[in-house]
Order: sequence, then C-alpha cells, then structure tokens
Amino acid sequence: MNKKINTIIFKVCSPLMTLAAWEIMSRTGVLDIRFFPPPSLIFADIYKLFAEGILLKDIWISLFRICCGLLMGGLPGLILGVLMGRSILINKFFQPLIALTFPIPKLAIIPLIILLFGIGEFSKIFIVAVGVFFLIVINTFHGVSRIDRIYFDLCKIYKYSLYDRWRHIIIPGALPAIFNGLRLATGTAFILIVGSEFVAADSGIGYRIWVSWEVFQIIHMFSALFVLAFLGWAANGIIKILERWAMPWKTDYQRECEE
Amino acid sequence: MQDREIVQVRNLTKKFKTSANTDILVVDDVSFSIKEGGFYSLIGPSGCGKTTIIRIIAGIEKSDAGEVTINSAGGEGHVFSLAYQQNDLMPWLTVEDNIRLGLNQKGYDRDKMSSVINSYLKEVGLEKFNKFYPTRLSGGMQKRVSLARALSVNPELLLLDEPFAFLDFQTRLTLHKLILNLFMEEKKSIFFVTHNVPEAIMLSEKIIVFTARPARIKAIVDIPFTYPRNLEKIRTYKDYIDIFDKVSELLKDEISKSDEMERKKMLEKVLEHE
Repeated sequence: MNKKINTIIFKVCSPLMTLAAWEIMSRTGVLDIRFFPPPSLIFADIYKLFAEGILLKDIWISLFRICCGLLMGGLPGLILGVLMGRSILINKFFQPLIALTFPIPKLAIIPLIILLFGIGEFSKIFIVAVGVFFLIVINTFHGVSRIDRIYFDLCKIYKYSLYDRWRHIIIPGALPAIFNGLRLATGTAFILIVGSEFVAADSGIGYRIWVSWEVFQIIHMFSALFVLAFLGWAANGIIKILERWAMPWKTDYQRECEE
Repeated sequence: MQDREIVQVRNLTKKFKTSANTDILVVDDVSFSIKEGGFYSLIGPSGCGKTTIIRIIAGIEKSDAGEVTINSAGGEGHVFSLAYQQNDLMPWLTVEDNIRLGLNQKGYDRDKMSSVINSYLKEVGLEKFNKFYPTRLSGGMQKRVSLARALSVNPELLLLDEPFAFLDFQTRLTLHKLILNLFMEEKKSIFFVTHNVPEAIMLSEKIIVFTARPARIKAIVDIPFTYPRNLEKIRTYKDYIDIFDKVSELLKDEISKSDEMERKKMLEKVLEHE
C-alpha cells in the first residue's frame, strides 16, 4: 500500500514540479516569455478556448479521425495477422510485401493519398489507417505464430473443439501481442493525424497548432500541445483499462514488466 | 483381464529431417507393450527420442514405420492423456477452466461438470484453488493441476513425460507419493518417461532402458517391489542397490555416447556457420 502511494505521489509530483520550474523561469525572464508563456497562462488560455468552443471541436474532429483510422486499419490488420499466423502459405505471400512497404514513413505517402482521394475527410482517416494496419498486422501475426505449440498438442490429446481452440487458445494466446500492437498503433495514429492536419485540414488539433504558429499565437500553440499530451496520456490509460479487462490473468508484476 | 495389453508398439521407427535435408534416425525399430494396470517407466539419456516415442503413442506425431496398436476397453473414449515436463496449463484460464476445457467434449451438464472438476482437484489436494490463475500457484501445484486435468478425462492410460523434471527434491517426493496413490486408487495404467534412475525405481514395476539416439531398447528391468511402497525407505529395500547399479550400468555408456554426439553436433553447427 505504501508503495502504491509512493508511485502516485511521484506520478503527480514530477509533472507538477516541472511545470512550476517552467512557470518560475518564464516569470523571471530566464525563458523568453514570447516563446515560452508560463503554464498558468497556458491553462487560462485552454480554459478560454474551451469556453469559446473552438478547442472542443478540434479535439472531437481529431479523435473522430483517429478512431475511424484505428477501426479502418485495425480490423483488416487483425484479420490478416491472424490468417498469416495460422497459414504458412498466406504468410509467405504477404511477408515480403509487408517487409517492403512497412519501412516507408507513412507521412511520405500523404501527397499520394491526397492525389488519390483529395483533401477530404477520407484522406486523413486513410493515412491513419495505413499506419495502424501495419502495426496491428505485424504484432497480431507474431502473437498468433508464437503461441506455444504445447497448447496445440493439448488440442489433439483432449480433443478440443474448433470453437474452444479459437476461443481459449489462439485468441487469448495472441492477445498480449495484439494489445502491444494497439498501443503502438494508437501512438502512431496521433503522429499521423497531426501530420496530416498540418498539411491538409481546416480543423483538428494538428490544424490548430499549425495555424497558431502561422499567425504567431504561440500561446494557442502551447494550449493545443498540452491538450494533445493529455489526449495521448488518456488514450494510453484507456488501453490499460481495456487490457486489465481483457487479460485478467496477468499479474501486476507481469504488467509492470511490459510497461 | 489383468493381462490385456493396452498398448502394443511394434517395430516403431521415426526419422527427423534436418535443415540440411538429411534424415536423422531418432527411433529405430522399437517394440514393447504396456499391460493394463501396469506402471512402466521409459528411461534413457536426454535427447535419445523418449519424448518422440510418447508423442507417437499419444497420436501427436506420426511414425515412419511400424505400428502402435491401442486396445481400448471402450467406454468414455479417452485412451490417453499426457502431462508434460514444461508448464502445460493455459495461463489465461483459471485452474477449473483449464480442467473444464478437456471435459467440454464429454457433454456433461453444469452440475456434473463442476462435481467432476472438484473431485479431481480434491484428489490432488487443490480443492480450494479452483478460481486461481496458474501463475499464482507454485511449480508443484501447477503440476498437480496438470495431473488433475489428465485424470479428469478418465483415460485408460496416463502418459507422463518427465512431469517432475524441474521440481525441487521435496516437491518431487510429495508428487511421487501422489502419483502412486492415484495409481493404486484409480487403477490407471501409467507410462512414465524420465531420465532419473531413482525416480524410475521408486515408482514403476518395469523400466525400459533405451540407448542413445537412435532410441533402441537396451534392456527391460523388472522391479520386484510390491505396492504400496514406502518411498522414504525405498533405498533400504532389499535389492534396491542392485537394481540401481544395474540400471546405472546399462545407462552409463549410453549417456557418454549421447554426450559425445551432442558435442559433435554443436561443433558441426558452429563450423557450418564459419
């Protein structure tokens, strides 16, 4: 219990102390206040932007794009990853394709996607989906193909049904790797949505950052950055809760090791 | 009835393909049979093909030549179940769900299912642990769950592939006692693979001694001790030392041969890469 309180104190204190140091340095002129407005003003600005309804709209549209992208890339990735893990033939066919296309930085194909789909909503969702797809495919494939073969021996010995085999061996066996993929994919989704909103958008958090910088409203830029940091942190927290729910067999120690 | 042979292995041969596409003979023309109600041990140097034999009997692998005949008494359909050296429990299933998964094919209703699970958990002394996940149990307790699962499908023959290899001495002794109790109470036939000579003598009535790879039968040694046995005192039994010496002597050359082979193989592998 003591240890728990300890970690919570650190989790709260280290960001707070960093913000306090920043506040003092901005106020005393160590940091140039034009480029580094003090956090208290940033929070006030966030409050103001929320009150005006601008920020909420930006958050909503960016999250919408991220969620659509996660679904659009994640579901096919999940299916293909499982198929590759279960079938050598499918694996042999797709492995080289993935090896060749995965290393391309996803931001590099933004122009191509705009060329193909225009600068509408679909382009931004699609670029997220592409990035998500690869991470989910690769992690799901590894998860499925590395399930201990001893469990498949058990299938033969105890004559598990096809349903039991999928429900109680393949899916739970691959789940830790799939969640790993989901965590990485969500991080990538944030990077990609901000990148594509820089280039071709008139809404969203990335657009807000870019436009604030263009008109030299540094404080709005910081506000959007703070919100972005919070959203990333919250997304990670949601995934953690999902993991706990989906994999109740993991011990706290195992969870700590994976973080 | 006592003389029914539950498994007959005739001229069993198995080859494995290496990466260089050459065949390695793993099991060479092996014949033996297991009598119903018998406790047989299979002993041999590590890597000799013991596990391959037990896997072929269990139907997990196919042989290249020879045959394995199963004389089932009919009934509930499960001739075998196998407990392994490694941890073979699904970490994502609770103790009772691990056992339940094996029983799903039996078509029991809810009450019957839980009473079967509980009775076998009780038999291995884990009746209060049904809702635990395996990772929260000790190694010895996990083995007990594996045993309960293997017994729960009511197999005619229990195949045990070095189930106690990674346990400490005291845990192993406790489980040896458990196995012997189960053997006497449940009247199961047991086929036990090990490379531990005292363990084989303590538990079984026949020890089949195998050579280094490829596995051939070197000798079959009868253990004259009757059941029940006092495992703490077994070293003081008349003939224990003689049997121990005999089996050790039979194994001695095979172990050094297998050791030699292992080193040669490693060396070849390294040279191949250079």
